[in-house]
Amino acid sequence: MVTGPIASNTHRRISFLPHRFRAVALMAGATVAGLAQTNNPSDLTQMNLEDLMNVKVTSVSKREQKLSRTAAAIFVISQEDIRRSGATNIPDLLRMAPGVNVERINANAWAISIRGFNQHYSNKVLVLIDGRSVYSPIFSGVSWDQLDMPLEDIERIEVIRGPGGTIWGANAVNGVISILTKSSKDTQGGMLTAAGGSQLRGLGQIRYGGKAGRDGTFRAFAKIFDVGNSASADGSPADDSWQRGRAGFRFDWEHANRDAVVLEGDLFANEENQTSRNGNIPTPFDILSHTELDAAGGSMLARWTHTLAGGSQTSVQAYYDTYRRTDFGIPATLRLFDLDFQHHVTAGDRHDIVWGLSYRVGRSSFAPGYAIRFSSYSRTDNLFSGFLQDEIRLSDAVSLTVGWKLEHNAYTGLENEPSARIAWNPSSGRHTVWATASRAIRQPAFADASVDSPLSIIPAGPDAVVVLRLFGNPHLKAETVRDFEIGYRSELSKRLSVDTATFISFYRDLLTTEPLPTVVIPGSPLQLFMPSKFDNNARATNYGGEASLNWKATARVRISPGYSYLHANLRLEPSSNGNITTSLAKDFPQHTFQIHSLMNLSSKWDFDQALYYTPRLPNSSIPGHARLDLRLSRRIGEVAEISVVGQNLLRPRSFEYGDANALVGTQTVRSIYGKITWRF
Amino acid sequence: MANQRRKYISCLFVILAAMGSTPVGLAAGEIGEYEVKAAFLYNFARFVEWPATAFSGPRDPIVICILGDNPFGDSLSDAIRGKELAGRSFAVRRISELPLKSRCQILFVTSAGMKLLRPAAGTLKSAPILTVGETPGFGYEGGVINFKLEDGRIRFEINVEAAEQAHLNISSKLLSLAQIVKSRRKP
Repeated sequence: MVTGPIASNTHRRISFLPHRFRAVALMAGATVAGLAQTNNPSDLTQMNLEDLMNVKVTSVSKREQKLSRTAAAIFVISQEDIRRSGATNIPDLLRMAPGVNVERINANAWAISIRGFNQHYSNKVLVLIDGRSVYSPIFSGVSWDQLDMPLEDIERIEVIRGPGGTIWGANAVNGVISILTKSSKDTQGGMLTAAGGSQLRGLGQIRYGGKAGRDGTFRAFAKIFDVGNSASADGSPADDSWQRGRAGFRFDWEHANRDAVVLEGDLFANEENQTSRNGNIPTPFDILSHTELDAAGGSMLARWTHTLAGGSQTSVQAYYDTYRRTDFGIPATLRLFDLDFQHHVTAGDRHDIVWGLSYRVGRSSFAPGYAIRFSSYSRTDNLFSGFLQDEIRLSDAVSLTVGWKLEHNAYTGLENEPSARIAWNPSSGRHTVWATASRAIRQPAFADASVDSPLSIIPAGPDAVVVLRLFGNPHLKAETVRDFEIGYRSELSKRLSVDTATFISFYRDLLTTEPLPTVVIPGSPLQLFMPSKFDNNARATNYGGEASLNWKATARVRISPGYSYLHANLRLEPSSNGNITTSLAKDFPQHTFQIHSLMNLSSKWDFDQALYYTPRLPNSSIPGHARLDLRLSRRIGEVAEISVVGQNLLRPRSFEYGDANALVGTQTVRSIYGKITWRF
Repeated sequence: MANQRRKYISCLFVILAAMGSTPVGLAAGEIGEYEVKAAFLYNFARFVEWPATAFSGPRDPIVICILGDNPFGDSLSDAIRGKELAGRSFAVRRISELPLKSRCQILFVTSAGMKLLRPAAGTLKSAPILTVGETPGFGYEGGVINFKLEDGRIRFEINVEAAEQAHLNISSKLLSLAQIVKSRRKP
């Protein structure tokens, strides 16, 4: 099914465990076709060794039993899934992971979260690209529009639902999304991609990979991406077109199986159109204005993994990330450096230990002189952390993983994030029952501590206005969660596997806005100044679960349905007079349902379908919506593939999310595009 | 109206999915990593000579043991079914712990199996066993053959020293196709 290089898993990384040392199994299994050989696998033993060495493996099957045994709710999106989704951006890819709620706000902004608390810039999910955090310490959240790469170069995306603080630290409250790119060893040769259609005005991409010396390989790429306007509420063209460009490289060096070095970097620039209101709270007096979002930056990461005598491994990683982003007209810049050391060692025959230390320094600044002010315009924060995790084999079937992270951040000081996970895996190896208990935190961000934002100015009579203004709070506490999960995973048969997880999460010190005394400022007009400030005065008890099936109906058809349920109970502390902030608003659906089907019509033709259903969001006027994406592709030899993709086919246009604070939501439009990929 | 259309399209979708699920007897387009590896394991046996001490009798089967969970499914059993080599048939056995309680001529160590192997590696020392791994550094740690996956193709490394220690005679043909690696030097 996949043309071209398959996801190699010789390059091992830990998944739920730190990503460096071990890999997880590919749940769905990357599969491939476009084979020169159409050997029946049972004939393989008749082949001589040379021929056998030329057989291209087309299905990197479930390999390490690690994933099926992991005591965590993990969903892996393989390269095969990515290619066949027809998605052109990362948010659309994430739709296929059950329990991940992806709601498009406009053509270039999304609300993406796991297990609730969904909003524009959701703050409870940590996102990593090859081990580099792309979660912003400026405002808590992820700028999804800034994340891009040739999607063909992604090896897999691991989506972990539930807290991951013990390994990944702060902000992995409800989940972790880890995007792992392929080793450059697996992207040798050239690839040229061109796509265009009704809303995707153009996508052009070139990538070339080669050898560097005896033990090294590299690839370099450039990509441009241009998306047209979608539709505004009345159906007229919305002003949300955008463009982005990116260039980057990855270099891999492996020597004598002892040392592996990865060096990667990229540069990008985005230009996006948006429409916004003049305040966070909509009023009848709002004026809609056109704003431009510009972002540009780059990153560089280096990692050296060394295998010591005795099989233990060390890894040292450093990265630097910088960008300047002008959102709502206010330029913000980030410069971040992170240094991380990990050691993985087995002790005796029962203990598998990983420990690590890391240091991060980040300088965030906002430009002064704009509508949103700050009590301080720039700050440099240090983050120190250390963790230890021990996976203890209690018996052949039972393993217990205990871990603890201690972290010191500039806002709340020392925080700890412990977890315990137990997995029971009876000897048949087909069933796993697991349970976890963990604690995680979200640390306050720069904006939470020091913002001074006009929420709204409302005319209140002939010569008076009400001014709502929100102030940050430098004394905020970390938001915390105590989370308990139970899961079950099973290979019911060779064709059918099931994965379920349930959870209950107790959140405390969630962010609220508390009113401050109203001040009357005489003058013309008379100002009724109603300030409020951030505080930690809410708690929540959420529970729910996710289930997914993977059914290989025939050798040519894979069908995978998924379902998620979430019940949220948010409440203010009795002492509070305030409001639950938008970050807690019930902007997430109770039920979501999806089904994917990948069909190989012949050795050349693929036909893939995905259907998603999201009901009405609890606090929203946006009705429930379904989304249907179809993809038809044809391979031409081993070198080229042509595909046609239709997205949002059920309706000419529909809202997914609506407005997000001051940002005006637009309607997704039915669209179609064609794509050609040529390898040389 | 829109609702009805949605229903219609949903139906169509289900029908398409159902159509796709009816078996169409065409050549399967997939080749699994472990199907290929199973074929390699069988082939290795053809190019490796064990000392007589490796077997208790001349009609003893060549036993392929898997340390850790079985990643092959049925493909390894399928690969060796009915095969014979110099009057010996083949057998597959799953091993959950070391030291070995019965004879194995080939010991395949999965990545997960490395955890079981490392503490007990000493017990295998100079035993006439062809150890085959699939973990980077396996040869370096003293394993005889190690699988690698490169650009979707299976490659392998051979540690000649380790083979000699296990009294295995590896044919030059097999060696010529392998990447030769060395054991780490003892401190």
